[in-house]
Amino acid sequence: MVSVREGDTHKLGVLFDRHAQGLFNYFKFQIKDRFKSEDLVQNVFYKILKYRHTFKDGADFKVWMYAIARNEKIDYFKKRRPLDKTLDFELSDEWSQSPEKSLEDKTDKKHLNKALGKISPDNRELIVLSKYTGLPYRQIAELYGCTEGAIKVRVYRAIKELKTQYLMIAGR
Amino acid sequence: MECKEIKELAVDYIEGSLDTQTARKVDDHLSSCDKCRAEFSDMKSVWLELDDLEIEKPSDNLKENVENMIDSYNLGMNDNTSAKWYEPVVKWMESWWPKRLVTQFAAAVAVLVIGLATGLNIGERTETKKEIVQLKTDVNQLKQAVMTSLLDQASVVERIRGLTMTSRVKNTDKEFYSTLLFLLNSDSNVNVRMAAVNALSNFTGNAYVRHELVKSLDLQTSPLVQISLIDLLVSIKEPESSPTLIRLINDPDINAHVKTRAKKALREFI
Repeated sequence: MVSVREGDTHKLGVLFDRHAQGLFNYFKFQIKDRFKSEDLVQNVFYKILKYRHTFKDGADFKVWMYAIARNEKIDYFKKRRPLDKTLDFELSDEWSQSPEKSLEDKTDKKHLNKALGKISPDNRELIVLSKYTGLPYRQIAELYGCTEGAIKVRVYRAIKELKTQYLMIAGR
Repeated sequence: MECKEIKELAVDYIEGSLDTQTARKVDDHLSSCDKCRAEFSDMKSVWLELDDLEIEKPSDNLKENVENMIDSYNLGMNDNTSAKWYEPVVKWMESWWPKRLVTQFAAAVAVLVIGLATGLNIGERTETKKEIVQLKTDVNQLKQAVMTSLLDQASVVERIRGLTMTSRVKNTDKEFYSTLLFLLNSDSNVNVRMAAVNALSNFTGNAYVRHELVKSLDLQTSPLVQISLIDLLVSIKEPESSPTLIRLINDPDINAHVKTRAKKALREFI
């Protein structure tokens, strides 16, 4: 990132190869739309370029990048029109359309997907950050501006909510 | 070990990353505390099952779009470095700014008074034309909003939305057409280029647009865009298209469907 900041902007391609999948997961698991998620990933890299001079020596690049991604996500939800909100609801089963090994397996995943869509947005973000971005708890804590212990307790609460929703949907 | 400590260790316990001694302490607590045991039950399986959810990969287009964005950004940046001609002018104007606070205040009041007097004077004269001005402002604002969405948005969705709005713009000019043509010829996303063809189909009354549409046919690489352009040129019966269509038909690299469409189109002009 330091090379990018100093003007070697083509090094951003290396950062893209390294982090695009994690960022894509971050958006896709929260906004459920593949194309919009790709748009937002592109926006993040645009912002990295635009604000590269604000990246400080010794700062953690991933934390900085995910702070940009969080702002992009907030902006996206703010600008979203009422029509898009209904669409989200209709698309909420879309995550679980891949062929699975067994019917039971498929149903479990469908329920889990549904449960993930039902929990509070803050808890969903925490679960997505912990599971699908490759960020360790130390970096998530830095992103949220709290201690690692505090973030682990919050993740624990998020899993608890997910479990409750999952059991309710599965009718157990 | 207390319930509060257990909550801090829970995630590591579920993930199996605790050392044996601490894990045993958690186990001991769980066997004696009904509340924590109830909370922990099923949490591990739910947490581990999240690993099995399908992870989609971003499309190859994304990488291409980001690379194009970096290239465009670099081009823009190089342009900016030469655009500092105004700096001496700004410095010269700054040198005129009074240093003393009282003089600054007096200058501000003077500017305010002159502004008010001029404003009132103009206000009187334009009273009768107020409605026309309002209408013009609305039209200009729409045009401005559309142009901004086309040029400034890094997002494909926003660019397409901007292009669909163009049919409502009334006071079009060459700069406006150039923006649409720029997207048609240079946008990295094929859907945006298709939307640009649709948008331009509203302005084929303009000779410049028609001429540029023919030129664009030579530049396009996507068969989808080529076919929509051919269809548009046929629908407006643009005679200038013939040489370009012949070139497409004879080009060995052109998609077979595009060639068939070009042949059919050529028959319309002969």
